[in-house]
Amino acid sequence: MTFQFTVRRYWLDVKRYGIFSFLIAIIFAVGITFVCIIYPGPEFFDTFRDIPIFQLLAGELVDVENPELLFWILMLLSIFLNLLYPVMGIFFGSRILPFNEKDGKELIFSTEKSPLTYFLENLLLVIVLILLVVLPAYLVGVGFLLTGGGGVSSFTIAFILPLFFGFVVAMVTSLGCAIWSSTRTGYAFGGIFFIVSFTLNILQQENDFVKDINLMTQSKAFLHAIEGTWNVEFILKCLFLMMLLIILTIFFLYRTDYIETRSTYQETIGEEDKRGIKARFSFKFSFIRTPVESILSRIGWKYPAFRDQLQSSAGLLLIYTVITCALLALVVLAYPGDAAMKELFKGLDIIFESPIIAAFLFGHRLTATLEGFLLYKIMAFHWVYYGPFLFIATHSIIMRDSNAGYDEITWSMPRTRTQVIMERTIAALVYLWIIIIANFVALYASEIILGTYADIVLTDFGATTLAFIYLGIGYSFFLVLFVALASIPHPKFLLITLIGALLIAIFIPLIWFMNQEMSWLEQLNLSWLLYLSPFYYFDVAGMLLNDINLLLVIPETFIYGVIIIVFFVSVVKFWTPTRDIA
Amino acid sequence: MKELPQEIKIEIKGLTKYYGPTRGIEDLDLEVQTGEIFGFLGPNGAGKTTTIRCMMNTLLPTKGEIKISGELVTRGNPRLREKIGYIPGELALPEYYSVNEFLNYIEAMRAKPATRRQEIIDRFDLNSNLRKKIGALSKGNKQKVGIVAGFMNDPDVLIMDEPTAGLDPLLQQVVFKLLLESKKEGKTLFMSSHNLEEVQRVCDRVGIVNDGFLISIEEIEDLNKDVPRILEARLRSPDETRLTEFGDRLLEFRKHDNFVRLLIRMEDSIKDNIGSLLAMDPEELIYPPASLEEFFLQFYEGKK
Repeated sequence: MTFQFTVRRYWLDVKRYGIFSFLIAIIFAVGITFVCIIYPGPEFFDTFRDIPIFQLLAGELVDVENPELLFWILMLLSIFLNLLYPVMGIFFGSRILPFNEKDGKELIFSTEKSPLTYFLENLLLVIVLILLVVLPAYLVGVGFLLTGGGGVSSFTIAFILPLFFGFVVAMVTSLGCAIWSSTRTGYAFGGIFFIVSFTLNILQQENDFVKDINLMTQSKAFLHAIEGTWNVEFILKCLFLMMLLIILTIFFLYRTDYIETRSTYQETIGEEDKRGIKARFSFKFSFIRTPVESILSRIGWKYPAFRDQLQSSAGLLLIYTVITCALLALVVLAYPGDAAMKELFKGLDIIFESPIIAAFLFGHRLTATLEGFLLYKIMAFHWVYYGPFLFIATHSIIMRDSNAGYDEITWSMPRTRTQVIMERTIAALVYLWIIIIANFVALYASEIILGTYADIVLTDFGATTLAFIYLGIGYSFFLVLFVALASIPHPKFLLITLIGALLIAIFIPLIWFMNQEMSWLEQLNLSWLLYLSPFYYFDVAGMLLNDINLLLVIPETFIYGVIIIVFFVSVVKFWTPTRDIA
Repeated sequence: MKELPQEIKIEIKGLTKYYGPTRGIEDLDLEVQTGEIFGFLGPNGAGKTTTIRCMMNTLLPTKGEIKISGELVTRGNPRLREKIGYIPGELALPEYYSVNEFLNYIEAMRAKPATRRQEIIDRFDLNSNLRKKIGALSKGNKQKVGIVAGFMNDPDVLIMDEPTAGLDPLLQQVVFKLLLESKKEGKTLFMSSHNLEEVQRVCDRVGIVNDGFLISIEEIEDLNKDVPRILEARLRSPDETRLTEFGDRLLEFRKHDNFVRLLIRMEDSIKDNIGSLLAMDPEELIYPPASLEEFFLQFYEGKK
């Protein structure tokens, strides 16, 4: 009976985290497929070895002579896994002991099951989930190696060893959750452990134990796998550390509250101290803060929905801006120079002839310049990471999460729906401009550091960024309106619709460019589908590579923008007043 | 001194709302008069929140119309909503705001200074929480913030979906006082509630709704008359043969160590029943005031 209940709960949890796990598994498997398809041959490595950022991520692997397909997979895998395993560890680790009130754990902890049983069951579940996530990728890798030159056993070892690091991160996260009964503390523990481990990697610590428990372990594991020098010592060290963490977690589990206590009490206690600290430091920034606060409060009074929209996703905006800036700066810092780029491009023929790259570049061929490098590294994929942000920023314009019922209060205020929606829309546009400006700053700051200032044509970058942003805005607005018109107030449905439509928008042109020679779309009389894709109208790769004048792009984006806004306003004005909004 | 509001009636005619095939509320007709507190009672899923959301124009009726102060709410007229204060059910507030910021937001959305803001903050003892993020507040404190937001602009009409949910009895008293004061000022109040005692205490009339249909509208005073009251008697050694006199009105007969407890439904005047009981030499007779809850339970039992 108990077994049946446990299995049933497992099934519920697997269903609950299934979509997330499935997505990671797919990304992982697609990543390995991509890596295998674009294998450029051994000569590629000679050029790439000298790039500092590559050395940092791939570690000692860059020194290997005569790299083959196995090595190629492992090297790229090591870069990918450096990020994937810790992130997976943090996420799943926080699921072992979730203390968030919203998770309904109060009910679970109040059943007859002991916290220890609950903990051990979840631990097992997390291990199963992590294994399920990595299994498809492993099978894909094995498949490619079987058809392309062996090395399966080395691949298996290299694949399994770093998993232990992921489990260690998961256990650190779980310990963090147990110490302060807080999922957020768990994230902090896992995150700090990851950062420290990464720093130790950079510092090249000589201590063996430290070496094995830092990120370097993964590339080390690959090296051992290739050279056949691996031993169980590393696994034993990880297991020892995991056991220690499990014991500590259980120790704290029996000494803490089972429900996260929302910091109400702590805030009351610390209120005076906080005010004191604020008062001590505030004078330093008062010359900036006072006018900014005054402007914000004036805007807030006149356009409250605008300010509310800005404030509601301010944290997200900050994180997103920092990530995109860091990404841009990393790419610029990794630029090997014009001469090296020319060499690199010679060796990259195979890559650029692969259908996937052709699809991402919309059929264009790259040039051996920084623009080409940027395009290859970032711009061609810009929409992939702008997409989610645009949806998050815009889907909340009309409908927020149903749990955030406070929108009901907003709609009950003496303002028309049109007013509120327009203010929020303008706020979403402001967000996008903040990101553009921050990206410009990051780009030029990196260039100044490299001493290659003005290598990138500002107008090109501006044109492509603008184009992408308008694409995103257009799509987001269109989708938001679709949902509004369809009168579907269910956020999950909204999200699925948005993601589905995004995927269609992305994949139509990709399939087209991958199969231009075959033109199966034309054969099936489906080529009109291409006209639905914004990429057909905004050829960003072309803009960047062919040095298209900003003066030509601005009117185009302006017209596009006006069409979107007119369409948007008309629909909001005439349709939303006749739709449910709660 | 604020001028007394003009005639502010709530008129609902033939209100029907379906969510696809699911019924929210069907053919609801009711009128709430100026200066009246109207209670809206019903079990979960009866259609109370649907009705209130239609009144606030966040849900569009499938059929029927709602007028407040003679104006159709379905037109989404913002000037009409200036007169309305709203406290939603299952109150969720934006956690990224501090209490002060949130109240500023509401004030700005209404585009006029909230005349009673500080007074109501003081009444609910919220001063020490004004700088705290809403996310850090307890459920009760969040409810207080919602009430302040609903009342602070001194609206002429108040529409409330379970306004005292999550408040302790002392704070519930503060809310009752506020409601009764508003009524005295001539305002129109509409509230849904699960708390039958509070409806009894503050409402003038009550609408009873079940499974999407309005069952009945009753004056609270009439309810008290109509509700069959229950008399509790404690007897040391009752003559059990005489108990048959009460027939099916005898709801409970339970023997305890030192006494026997009887529960008898009083359908007619108490005089008609008391004689038989007194003859049994009772130690204690308890005759509590009529409770709406009894009516409510009985009402639904009768409908089953």
